[in-house]
Amino acid sequence: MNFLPFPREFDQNEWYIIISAIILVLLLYKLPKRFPVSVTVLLLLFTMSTARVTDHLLAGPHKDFYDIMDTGKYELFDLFSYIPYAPFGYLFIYLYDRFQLKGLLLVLYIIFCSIGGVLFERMVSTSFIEFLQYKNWSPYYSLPVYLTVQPMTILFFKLEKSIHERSLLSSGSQH
Amino acid sequence: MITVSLFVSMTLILIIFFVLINKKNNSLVLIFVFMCIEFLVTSFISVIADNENLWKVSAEPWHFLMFRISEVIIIPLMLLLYLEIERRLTTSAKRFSLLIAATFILVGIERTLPILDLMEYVNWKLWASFLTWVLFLFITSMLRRMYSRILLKEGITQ
Repeated sequence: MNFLPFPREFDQNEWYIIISAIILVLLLYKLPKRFPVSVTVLLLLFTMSTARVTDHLLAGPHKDFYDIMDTGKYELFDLFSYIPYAPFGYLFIYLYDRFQLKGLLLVLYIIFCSIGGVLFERMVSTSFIEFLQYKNWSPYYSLPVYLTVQPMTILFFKLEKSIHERSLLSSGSQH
Repeated sequence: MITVSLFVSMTLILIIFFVLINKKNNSLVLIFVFMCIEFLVTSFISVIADNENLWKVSAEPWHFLMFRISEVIIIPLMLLLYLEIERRLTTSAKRFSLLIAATFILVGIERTLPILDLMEYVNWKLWASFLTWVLFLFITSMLRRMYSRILLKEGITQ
């Protein structure tokens, strides 16, 4: 039994996961703290779990639009591949909150980040990195996915922040 | 189609029930546990069905959809309900009884999936089902405790 297969070959896509995880986690560490730990944890987890569920629904055996890493199986490095998603989501919300984006600026920010996501996906599906192997999918189909997920991420952030503030207030009033 | 309709209706009733009940756990804790469970359950199914072929998920579109709904909505919500009930129990004996009952309920839900033709077992034993769901219930409890400590440090009590 090999529950989480090791990579067939430890090549560029495994190195991409390791290097991007290190860079993004360092970036996360270096940015001035803006949110409480509880809010940060949920933000990181939201991005990772959204990516995981989406891949499970779209890249599974019956709806096999694309493969991640070397094969169509759920490998060990597939599990690690969700780590780089978390800092991307955090950075997206960090900049949104830092610059208090609203109105047209926010719309342009979402569009810009979604196009950035598509271009990044295009880059990691090249024969050099081979993180994604498309079957009945194209990176351009991902644009509406990003345009849906990114506003959802902002809404999620606003929701958890308001729950956090309410919880703090009600805990404060209890003491 | 009647089966699909009933299945979706029961899922919606479960969602409405969960949303409307008075929560004992902080919403942030429930959100945290829900997202972790989503990750773990989908990973578990990928390992069991896609890697090891111990379960064979139906290729029929409606059955496939129903299986995904049970994976992504029903099982996580049942685990969150377990947390809510656990918080209402005051003694270890009652919590242990709840653990046993919840294990049987989750095994029962899993065992209805082949009956509804959503999947079939290939070399999967009953003891593996019990072990799986006990582990998931244990992990759910641990996740709740872990995140509650973070909230406690920030001055949020439940």
